[in-house]
Amino acid sequence: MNLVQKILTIYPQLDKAELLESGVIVQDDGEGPYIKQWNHPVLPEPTQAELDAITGDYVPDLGAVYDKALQNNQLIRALVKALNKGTFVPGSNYTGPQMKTIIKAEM
Amino acid sequence: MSGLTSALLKGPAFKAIRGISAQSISDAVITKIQLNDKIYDTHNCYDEVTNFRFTPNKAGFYVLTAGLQVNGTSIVDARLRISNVADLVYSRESYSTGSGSSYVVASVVEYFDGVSDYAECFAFCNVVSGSPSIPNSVLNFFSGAFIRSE
Repeated sequence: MNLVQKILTIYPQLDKAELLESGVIVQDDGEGPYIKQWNHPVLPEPTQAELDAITGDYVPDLGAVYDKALQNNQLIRALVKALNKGTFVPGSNYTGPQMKTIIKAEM
Repeated sequence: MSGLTSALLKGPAFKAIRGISAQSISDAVITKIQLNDKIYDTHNCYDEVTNFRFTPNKAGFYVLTAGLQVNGTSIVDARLRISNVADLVYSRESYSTGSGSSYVVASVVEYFDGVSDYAECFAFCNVVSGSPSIPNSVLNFFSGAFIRSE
């Protein structure tokens, strides 16, 4: 797991591009990655002990990724959640009004 | 010979490429591009061995151009930065998104003091999985030339 992935494990609400654009620079000049600059407006820089404590493979928080991708689009969120509940699974035989009700409940 | 032509002839110019082996980089880490093969370097101002940087020995304005090809699995975002490491004032970024291979180009005109100012190239590549790499290719280049003293 590289340094960026460790930071994202500590702060799952961030993604890689957002980390870069929020004033955090993780750089590698040829001798391995290091935190060159940490100017995040809210989150504190992780300590070395916190970073060292993270081992294993990087597993992104898909729930956070999902929420971030959809946070500005309530309609898509509602549709996807309704889909995940089986609304559109063949054989479920929901009527049009039932589908509308389920989607509306997710909005 | 005009003064302009004379000035152009006397200033440093260089071009370096990634000519020897591919360079692996870490996902989402801003990584110095090790352009390790000089095509030309009129005033011996580009270090292609240790620091991979251009340190012109003549004060003035320079035009710098760089190209970056990155290979990776489902590239989300590839960026190229020409920068002064001290404060990133030369930072320029280009964006490219694609799967398999992405290519970005950046260009900038900046002033160098002719003593300690220098410029380097950095790559940033955000991939869905795995590690991206910079292939040895003439498409991965860094070039520059003196254009005027003031």
